[in-house]
Amino acid sequence: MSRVRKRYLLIRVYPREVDVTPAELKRTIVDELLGLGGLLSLAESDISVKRTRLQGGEYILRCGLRSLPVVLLSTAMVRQLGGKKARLDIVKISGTLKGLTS
Amino acid sequence: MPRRFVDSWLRPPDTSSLERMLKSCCELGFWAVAVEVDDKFWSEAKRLTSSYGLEIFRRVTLHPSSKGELYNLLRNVRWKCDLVSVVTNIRDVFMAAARDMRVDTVVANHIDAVYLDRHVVQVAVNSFEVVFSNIAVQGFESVRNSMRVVRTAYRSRLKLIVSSGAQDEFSLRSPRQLASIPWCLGAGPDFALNTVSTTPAKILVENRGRLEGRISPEGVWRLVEGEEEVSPN
Repeated sequence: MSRVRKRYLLIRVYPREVDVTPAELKRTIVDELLGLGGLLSLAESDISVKRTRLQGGEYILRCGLRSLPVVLLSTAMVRQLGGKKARLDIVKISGTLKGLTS
Repeated sequence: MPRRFVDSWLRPPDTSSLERMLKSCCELGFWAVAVEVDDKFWSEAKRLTSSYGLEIFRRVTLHPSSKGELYNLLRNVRWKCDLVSVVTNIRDVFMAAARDMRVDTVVANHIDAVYLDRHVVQVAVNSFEVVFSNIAVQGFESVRNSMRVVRTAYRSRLKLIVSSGAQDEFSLRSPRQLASIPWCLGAGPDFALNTVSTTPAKILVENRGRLEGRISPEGVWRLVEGEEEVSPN
């Protein structure tokens, strides 16, 4: 069985004052992903919000390489977080966690 | 050389939101923006952009209701703006805009956009434009139109541009998020990234050269000794 290649996305919430937990962020992205690609896309993407960095408002999202375009579009479709107007900025995309945080 | 990303449609309602949008564009990694503002905001917009280290281009979006009106509007605005775009839901006007060399882009993904068939493809010279704010606001009908435009442009090797169409800083998206629209809808990753970098940058740089008299009518750049060569890449 071949290894599933992953991509790690460094996501920054704008504005930084919007406080959201990784679980809430994942829920929001999953909702958008369900609307865009349905259950199959969601299952294939295997997304998880890994952890927050030390700086506030930055999160690391992991997804499958093949689902990267639909996950990117899902993050773009997010317009509200916790009832406030917000957007998710993709700061960096990397194949390893080390590459993302360096 | 890294890609130079361009957001080819910002439409700020006032100066304060323009400033916030330009700051966000700078943080998102854009090299240039095309802004739709009127005459009194234009000098203020140029001053703000220079403080954030961005290139600014002036855009005008026309909404003609007939071919005659389109030609009249083009006669007035072509040599005042860097980017001329047309939005219409009338097939004759759409085809005239797609083949007129004074037009740069034709918006083709709004809810009542003209059906993009082989007749349009045969006459099309200009770029088609997919606007993200249409997709975000208008939902699946806009996605359906975008899908048709992206697949036709990718298959027929037509030029395609993706822009945000943002009216405030919350509607802006990073270049890779904008490029994910054509990537998701059937285009290759390189073509998708070109829709937010090489393709719009080439149009804007060439039009700026024409407005400044640095391109001859034959399309040849005039370079002065010691001057930096301009390249959209």
